[in-house]
Amino acid sequence: MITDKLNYSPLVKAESNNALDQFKGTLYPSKKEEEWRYSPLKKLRKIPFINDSSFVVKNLSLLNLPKLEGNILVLENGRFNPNLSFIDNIQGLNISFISNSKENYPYSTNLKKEDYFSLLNSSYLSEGIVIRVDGNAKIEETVNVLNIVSSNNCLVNTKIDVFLNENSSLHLKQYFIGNTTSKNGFINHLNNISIKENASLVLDKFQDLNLNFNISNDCINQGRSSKVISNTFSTSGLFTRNNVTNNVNGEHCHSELNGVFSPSENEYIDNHTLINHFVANCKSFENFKGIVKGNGVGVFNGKVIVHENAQKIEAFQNNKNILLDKESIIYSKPELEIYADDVKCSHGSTTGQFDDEAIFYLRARGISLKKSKELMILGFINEVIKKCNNIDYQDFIIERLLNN
Amino acid sequence: MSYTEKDLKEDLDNKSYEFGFVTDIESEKAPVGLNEDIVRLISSKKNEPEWLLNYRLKAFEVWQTMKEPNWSHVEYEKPDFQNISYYAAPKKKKELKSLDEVDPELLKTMDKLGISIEEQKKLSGVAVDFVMDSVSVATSFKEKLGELGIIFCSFSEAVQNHPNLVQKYMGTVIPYTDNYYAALNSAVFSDGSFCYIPKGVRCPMELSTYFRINESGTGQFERTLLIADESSYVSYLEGCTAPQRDENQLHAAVVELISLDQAEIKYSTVQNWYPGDEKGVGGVYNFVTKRGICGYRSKISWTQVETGSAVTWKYPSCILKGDYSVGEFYSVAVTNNFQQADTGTKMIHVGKNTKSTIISKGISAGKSQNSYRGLVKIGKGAINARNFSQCDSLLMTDRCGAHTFPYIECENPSATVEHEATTSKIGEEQLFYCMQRGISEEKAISLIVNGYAKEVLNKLPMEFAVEAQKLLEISLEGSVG
Amino acid sequence: MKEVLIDIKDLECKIGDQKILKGLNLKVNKGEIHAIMGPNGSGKSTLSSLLAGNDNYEITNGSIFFEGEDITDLSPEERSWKGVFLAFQYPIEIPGVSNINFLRTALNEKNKFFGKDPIPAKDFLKMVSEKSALVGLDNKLKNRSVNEGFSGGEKKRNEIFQMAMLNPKLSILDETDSGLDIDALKIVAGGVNKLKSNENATIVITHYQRLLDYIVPDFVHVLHDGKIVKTGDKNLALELEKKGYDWLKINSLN
Repeated sequence: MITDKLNYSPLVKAESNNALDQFKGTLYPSKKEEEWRYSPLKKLRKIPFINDSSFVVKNLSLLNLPKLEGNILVLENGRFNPNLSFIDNIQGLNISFISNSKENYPYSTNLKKEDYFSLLNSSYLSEGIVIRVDGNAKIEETVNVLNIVSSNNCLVNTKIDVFLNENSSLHLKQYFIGNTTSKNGFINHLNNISIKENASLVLDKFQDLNLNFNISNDCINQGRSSKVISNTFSTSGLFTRNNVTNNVNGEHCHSELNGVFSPSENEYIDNHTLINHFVANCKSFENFKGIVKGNGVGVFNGKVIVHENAQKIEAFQNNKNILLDKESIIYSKPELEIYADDVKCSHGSTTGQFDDEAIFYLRARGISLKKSKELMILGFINEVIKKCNNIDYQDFIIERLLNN
Repeated sequence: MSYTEKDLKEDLDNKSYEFGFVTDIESEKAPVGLNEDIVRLISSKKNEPEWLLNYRLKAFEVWQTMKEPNWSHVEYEKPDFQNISYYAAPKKKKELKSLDEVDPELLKTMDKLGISIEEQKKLSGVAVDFVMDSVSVATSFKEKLGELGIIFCSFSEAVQNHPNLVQKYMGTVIPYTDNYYAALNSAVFSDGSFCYIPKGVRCPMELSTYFRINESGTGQFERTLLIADESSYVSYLEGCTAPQRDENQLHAAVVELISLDQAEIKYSTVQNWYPGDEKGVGGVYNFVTKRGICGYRSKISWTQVETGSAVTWKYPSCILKGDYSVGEFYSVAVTNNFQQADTGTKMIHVGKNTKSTIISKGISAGKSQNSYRGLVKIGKGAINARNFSQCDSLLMTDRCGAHTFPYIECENPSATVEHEATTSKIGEEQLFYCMQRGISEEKAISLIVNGYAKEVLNKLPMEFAVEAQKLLEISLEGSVG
Repeated sequence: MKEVLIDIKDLECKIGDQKILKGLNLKVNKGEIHAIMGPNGSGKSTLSSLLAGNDNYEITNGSIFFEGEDITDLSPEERSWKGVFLAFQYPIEIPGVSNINFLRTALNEKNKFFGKDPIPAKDFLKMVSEKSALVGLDNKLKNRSVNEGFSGGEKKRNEIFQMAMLNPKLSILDETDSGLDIDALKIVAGGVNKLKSNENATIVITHYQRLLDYIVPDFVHVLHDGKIVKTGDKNLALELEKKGYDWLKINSLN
């Protein structure tokens, strides 16, 4: 619930706040809206959110994280925490903070009324990071952005703007962490990503929210011959929702959205993706794997739109799910909207359980039931996990997925 | 009914709607508009019992509180429900026992449609319940069916002669609260078909009904109720053609199927309502609610070939309530010019070991929009439920659209749900290959499309398969991009 | 005096309402090779599945003793650790799990059971290259997903390779010859023979006598309608090859 106690962001131009009065009092879309039909918005609605920008985490080693290399930017409760961060000066890479900027941050004018959480983000913006990569700069070092919520009921609205200029490349790793000691914190994050001609971005996202909430909106705009690979790993969270909009605006682009999500007891993890093929001669690939435990709820809703005249598009969408327990639920909705004829598009969705014969085979080779199931999960997620080329990171993700 | 190359050539020369003509029979019409009095008028005209009048009135009350749905992927001008006449019946109404008594005008109509009753009677053993506008005029083979205890009559007759059966089952699968159009139908339905197959009886012939919209400005609110009692079997055919009109016509039917324990219902439809002209003027709005419920080890199989209507909104569904019950949906939907179709199915798995199969083949041409929308829901108790769905779309031009909106809701871990869909253009290599062998482009397309749709066409009874193939060809004329 | 390895007593089982084994007795000593033959549907594959602990079947009577211990209720993995190995008639494909990872997990689970440390990577790899040479398994296959995209022959060789890696006391070869050409058959049989010792035993389940030319049995049993109806030496297999099974059915009825 958004109450008067929350302050509008001083970072954003004041006039934009009028649009946001709808959030006062009740907040959020209703379940009747198609886009939100499976979301337990009740969970969010009953929490009286507060502003709290205190620093709680003393040391990153206290958090369950993989080994971090390269630049480390830590946002805690929506504020940049310099004590936990490490910024290395790298040629061609410019990092700045919206709070340091002398001008007010421009309010995103193209948001619609239905973009609830983007609107919320814009008006209550806590902090934003702007990452610019110069033309032709290939940034070898990974940029890690940690977004931690560590206070109860804390509403965090953060934003990252990424600009990749022509022929540049970047590897961005985002971590959305709900500290294990905090409850009902809510990270509402916005990624605004612009990839210019021939540039390439790898975006790894790791979400481990524990008893907190996370809504993450990604808007990716691709220029000609650019490439984006986005891998999202969601291991825990009371309410985790990813909305990815990938606008392919130039020809010969490569777009890839992958993910593994594993909601367990009382958890809800939802991946909504939209790939807009506005122009011809592009390829997109989507692969999401869901593993649902306990009474967890997993959602995959992927939409590919091939617009008029966007000929010679190849778009492939795949969603596979495993339900591990009696109460586990999956909602899968892979959608295709095609307005051009010379295309190759397909999608598939399967939901099931482990193959008993395969489990027996593993056990007959002396592998315990528990270990057999782990191996099966490993096999199930392997094709997505191997998209990350860092072994440490892979092992970490696997460990978190198996042990959550 | 054979279709020759000569026929094809004629069709190619004459690309306008084939069955566009109006039968000139005087009609008795209700005044235009909808209010409680009209509902009462319809009921009293039909001499209905009190419970049915009350049912209509309740439905009307609910309908007034509802909004016309707008979630489907179609755009059209909403019908003005106050500008429709809700009741029309041919004036020369009398009991008919043989074809001789049928109005010669009607017989001529049937000849034009290519569904001569005599011929069918002799050759294919099909009993035809011919619906002209809203009231049944002739029913054949009735006596033969009667020997087996099969009831096959108009809905109105059933209300008079078998009120207990109608009251027991009507609205049990599709309650009047179900949706906007079902509520409307429940309030103002004019007539339709009723069928009851007794326990253990295997209906020896395909039952079929031909629908036609005839009166200009007359909404059609058909109601079909089909009950297959335990361990019985029936195959039911439904086909529609409509005359050419410039104004849009509304068709909001309700079809309820009840397949009791170990029974099987096969329900086939060829739908060819007037689709509007090349410019998108006119055409029928087809907003139909079709649903069946399955008992223990029973089966319902929907097969549909949809080529007509300006706007189609239709999801023949199965509630798989009984353990080991089976639901099937086979569909070919063709859209051309400015047609819009949003069609698919719902498979609701409730019982254990239930199984469903969905095969949908969409073909879009011209500037049309063709959507598959389907729901597969595996309920909490549906242990070992299985579903397989395959939804393919074929695009003929670069101005049409093909869309797939599957909803998969799985709430039981022992279930297996598989969905596959592909969208592609008609194969240029295939076309070239055919043409190189001397087959014209039109014919080649028809060949390829028929091959593409074969999996579904094969599910149709023979009598329909021929007609359906012909319809596919006609529907896709001039569709090459 | 030979030591008994496995002793199957009065074994009866069913799947659903259907009875499959109807009182089967079989004793196998260390150092022996037993062949079990029989027509389709006689219960051969059921027996092999049951010995490995597949709980698709319900045991309604009887028990299985392995080295004197009742293993009737043990899980598949416990039986495996104790030394029971089943070479599957249809080896299962497991996408995404590499052969190497699969085997290392299997070996380490076994080590854990015996309180041993995990096998060091170096020793493991050495073992892999030694044992795979035994059945001429292509190196590339080792890094592929378990059985995925393997040809029929490759799958069967992979089974024998796994057998060599796990060094079982009792190997059950379930129709290992089916789908193999003569060259592949020789390689597989060669592998089995090399692994044979006085400490282990083999049960060969087969339809055809052909395999028994290469893996020579000490005893041949005929399984019919859930029971062993005849036992003999290797000549029985030759006789069956000539006469088929029908003459036995008549005998058993009398």
